[in-house]
Order: sequence, then C-alpha cells, then structure tokens
Amino acid sequence: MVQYKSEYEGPWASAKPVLFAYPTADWRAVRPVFNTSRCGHCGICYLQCPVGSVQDRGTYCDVDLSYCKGCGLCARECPNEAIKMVREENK
Amino acid sequence: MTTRITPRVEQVRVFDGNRACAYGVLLCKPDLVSCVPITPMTPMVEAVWQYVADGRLDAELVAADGEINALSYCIGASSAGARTFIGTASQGLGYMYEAYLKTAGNRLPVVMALATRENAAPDGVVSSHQDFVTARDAGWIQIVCEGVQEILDTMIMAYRLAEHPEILLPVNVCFDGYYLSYLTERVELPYQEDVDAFLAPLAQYDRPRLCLEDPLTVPTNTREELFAEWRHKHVVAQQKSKKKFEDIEEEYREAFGRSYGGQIEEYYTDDAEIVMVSMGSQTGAIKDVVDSRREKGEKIGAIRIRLFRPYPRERLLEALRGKKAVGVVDRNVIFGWQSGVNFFEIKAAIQDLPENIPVTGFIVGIGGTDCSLEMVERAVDITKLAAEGKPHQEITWLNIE
Repeated sequence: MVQYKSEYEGPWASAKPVLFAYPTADWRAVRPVFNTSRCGHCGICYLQCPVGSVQDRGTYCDVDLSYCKGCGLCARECPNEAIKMVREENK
Repeated sequence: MTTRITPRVEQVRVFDGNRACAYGVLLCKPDLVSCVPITPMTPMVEAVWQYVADGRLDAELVAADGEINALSYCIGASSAGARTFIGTASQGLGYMYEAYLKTAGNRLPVVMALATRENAAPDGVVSSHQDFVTARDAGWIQIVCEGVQEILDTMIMAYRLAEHPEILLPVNVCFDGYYLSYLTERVELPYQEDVDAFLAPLAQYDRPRLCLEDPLTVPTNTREELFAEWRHKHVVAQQKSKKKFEDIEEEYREAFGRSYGGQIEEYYTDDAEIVMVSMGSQTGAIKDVVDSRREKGEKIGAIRIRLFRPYPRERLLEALRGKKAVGVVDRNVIFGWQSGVNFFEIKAAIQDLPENIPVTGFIVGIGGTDCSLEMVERAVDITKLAAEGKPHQEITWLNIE
C-alpha cells in the first residue's frame, strides 16, 4: 500500500516557514564566526553568500547557520577580517 | 459544474493543420505564447502572432532565443498560474528536451502542438512520428491526430485535460508534419462563447502557483522517499488521464457534435479477424483498404491509437481480444528492437490475452515517404499469412522492400 507524505500533487512545497531544501548545514566542516564588534556593515558578505545565510541585523551582519555549507566566501571577502572559519567538532 | 452547449457551427473554412491549430489556440485564450518557428509548424506561429497583432488574442508573446528558453518561459508562466501555449517540431523538441522533462515533472499544464517531423540525422526536413515517440517517456500526455478538424478539436480538449486538478500534466497535441500541417481540409469553427463555456469549469480549480503572498518552492530539491512519492503521483495521474480524456471527449461530443473514439478509434473491429493498428494521418490509407477488403467479404478492421501516452492498454486489450492476427503500421522506429514503437508496445500489451495472437510489424512513411494503398495491401496480406499460421516476415519496411 503506497503511502503519501506530502499534501502536494507535484514537487512543490510552501516556502513558509522555511524554504524546502536540502539540509545543507550537514555538509559543513567549518563554520563562520562573526565578530560583530569589528563588522563595518558594508554588506559584502551578505551579497557574496551563495545560499543567503548572512543576515542583515540593521547595524551589523551575522549568520543563520541553518543552510550554511561553510564555504568560507564571507570570511575571505570581509574587508575588516570580522569573520573567522572555525572547525566543526567531529568533522 | 456542467454547461449545456448545443452543437452549432460559427463558420466553415478551408484550413491547413497549422491554421486549424492556431485557431484552436485563439479560442482557448492562452496568457502566454512562446514559440520558435520551425518547419513544418512556422505558419502556425505566424498565424498566432497575427491574431495578437490584430487584437483578437490578448496574450503575451515571447520571441525566445532557442527552444529550451521558449519552453522555459512556459514553465515560469505556468508555475505562476498562466495558461500557456508552445509549438515546435523535431530538432526544436530535441533542443528543449531538458525543459520538456521539467515541465512534466513539475506537473505544469502546458499545451504544446507538435507538427511531427523526422529527427536528424540523416538530416531531413520531412514528415515522421520519430520526434514525439523519441520523447515518449518524459511524462507528458501525447495525443495524435488524424485530420485537420481533429487538431482544432483536440486543442480545446487538451486544455481541459491538462488543467484538471487530478491530472495537472502537460499535453502534446501531435499531428503529422506536411501531411496535416500543410494539408487543407474542411473545418467547422465553433463559436468563441461555446469554447469559453466548455473551458469555464477550469476556472473553479485553484492549483498551487508562484505568488508573493504565499511563497512556494517549485520544484523542491527532493530525494529519497519524497522523490518516489512524487514520481508515483505523476504515474498515477497519467493513468487517470485515460478515463478523464474519454469523459472530456464525451462532453465535447455533446457540446460540439464531434468525437473521435477516445483513447483509440475503432474501425470495423467488432467482427474483424484481422486488425491493423496505426497512428496519425496514414490511418486514412488503412481505412480505405479496410473498406475495399470488406467489400470483398474479408473480416478486417483498423484501430487508430489516439492517446499514445499514456498507452491505451486496456482499450486495446478489449478491442484485440479473440482476433486472429494484428498488423501494426508504424511511422517510426524503436532503436534497439528493429521495429516500430507500437509494434513493441502492442506485443507487450497483448501478453495479457490468453490467445497468443501473432503480431506483424510494418515500417512505413518515415523520412517523408508515402504510405500508399498498395503498401497497406501488402501489409494486410502478410498479416493474413500470420493469421493462417503460415511462414511470414515479422517486420517489413514497406517503402524499401
């Protein structure tokens, strides 16, 4: 007996409350740590992040790690060296 | 909701297949039309664009830079809830193949007209069924027409079928390039308000669509069990479309006075001992031979496969039960099996019948070659040998042997 889990007829999902996507946080070996006191709020990391994980907090930026793959682009591009990549435990 | 429409004809015109298809598009009022002209369907695109230029059709026109983009425009618009139309042929279908797969997988009710043409190589701008049969396993619904009037009628039925919430699948309306796309026939045009009334039930269905108020992920990046679930739903919807197609056609017959037999058209099959199976315009030649043989007292009939995907397995089994032999005339080949596609699929389907009916296969009409009455006579003679249990050739290429 076939059992369905999705209410949708096709490969669609409500984007509320969260985008339906792979839990790419699983892939992360290193994570960005934001030193918000060094952040100049220039927005470069916000623009560069391939998965949109960098969050604009009004006067500074930090990261929502839900989908962050730990690619390190933000840390490399930050002109103030406010972001450091830290190894995840057990990875 | 059912609408009562009394059959009536606004006017009778002489149209070729491209023009009849374009007129069907006009009547169905798509929101977006995206086509790249390609022989043998270029006049259809020109006619649709002329309708827009003349202010008769209020549709967004997209002059896409290549067929994959043309269909991708339809994917986007259809995801946002628009009614879309696209036409192409042969190499155009090949170029849009990735988007073609996505349209079906995303369950988007795009309607595509295909003036069928041979696939290159060898390079040949000539008629065949090879283009759509090559794409048969992409998850679309594929309907094949025999005449020009049927193209117009099928366009209208196609939107009803595609947009039904239990189906939600893209539909190919296929008609032979050249033989139908450029052939002129008498066509009865329905009234716009009757077509509006026929399509009106679709307005009550609200399918999930891309919008800012209630954001949707289309398609989700899916794997494992959920992927299998959506594949299963797709396959189930395709099977459901067989019955739904016949229901819609019955409603169409009541409203417009024409129908074509549903999934398959049966021609003198009831008492027939031999049945010739075919698809598309060449069935006309087969019906002529059936007529002349019947005058001589031979019990012979014909079946035209109209719904090619999903395959009308149950209807075929019902129609072929108890026959002495089946001859299958294909205007295509199935690579890997040295036969035509319908030969292969009918062989597979009739395994379920207890009688072990012999099947003979014929390749005819590929590369724009003719399917003459003499060739069909030969095909019938060979199939009679099979019915009598005599030695015969299993596959015959009628144009070259």
